[in-house]
Amino acid sequence: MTNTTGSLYERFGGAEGATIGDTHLDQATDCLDRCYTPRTRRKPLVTILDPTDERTPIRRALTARPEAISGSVALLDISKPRGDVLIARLEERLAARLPGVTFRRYAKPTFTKPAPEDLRRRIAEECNFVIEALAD
Amino acid sequence: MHDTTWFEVQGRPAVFIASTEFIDAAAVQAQMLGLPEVRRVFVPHPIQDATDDEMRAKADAIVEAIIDALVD
Repeated sequence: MTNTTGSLYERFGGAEGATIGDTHLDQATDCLDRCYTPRTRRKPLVTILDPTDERTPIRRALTARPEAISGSVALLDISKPRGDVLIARLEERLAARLPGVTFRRYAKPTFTKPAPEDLRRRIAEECNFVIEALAD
Repeated sequence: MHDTTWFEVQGRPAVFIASTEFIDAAAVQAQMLGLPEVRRVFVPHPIQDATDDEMRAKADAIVEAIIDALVD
C-alpha cells in the first residue's frame, strides 16, 4: 500500500513522486507538523548536532614525583562494589611497607561521575598523594 | 580518571586502579583528558564476583606498582 507523497513534500518544498506506506506517511506528517510552524514553514526547529568532540584537549603534564612517599596518602574509594575490600587490603599492606606515612580514607558519593569539588579540594589540602580505586 | 587528572594538575601525584577490562578505555580517556601518561594500575578482571580472598590477592599483587606510580 503506498501513497503519493507529492503533496507532503510539496508542502515543505521537497521533491514530488516519492511513495511511502500509509502508516509511515501519517507518522512523517505528524513529525513534520511538530518540527515546523507556519512562521518557519521551511526552517526546521530541530537542530541535529554532531556528538563527536573535535576539540584538541589541553595537553597536561604529570606533576613531579618525589623520590619517596611521605606525609599523607589519600585512598579514594569510587564506591563501586568490592572496591572497599581491595582498598582496605591496600591500606594494610602500604602502611606496613611505608611506616611513618599516614593513610586517609575517602569515598565518592557515586562512581558515575567525578568527585564533588569540595571533596577534591579537601583531599588536596589534606594529602600529598592520591590512590583512587576501583573501576571495573 | 577525571579525578586523578585533577589531582595531578593540583600538584598531587596520583594513580588510579582499575580492572583489566579498562585498559583500552583508560588509554583513550587519558588521551582525551590531555594526560596520556596518567598513572594507572590494573588488576585482573572480574571484580564483582570475586571473593574477599581473591580481592585481597589482587591488592597484594599491586602494592609495589602503586608505590612506583607515585614516585620518581
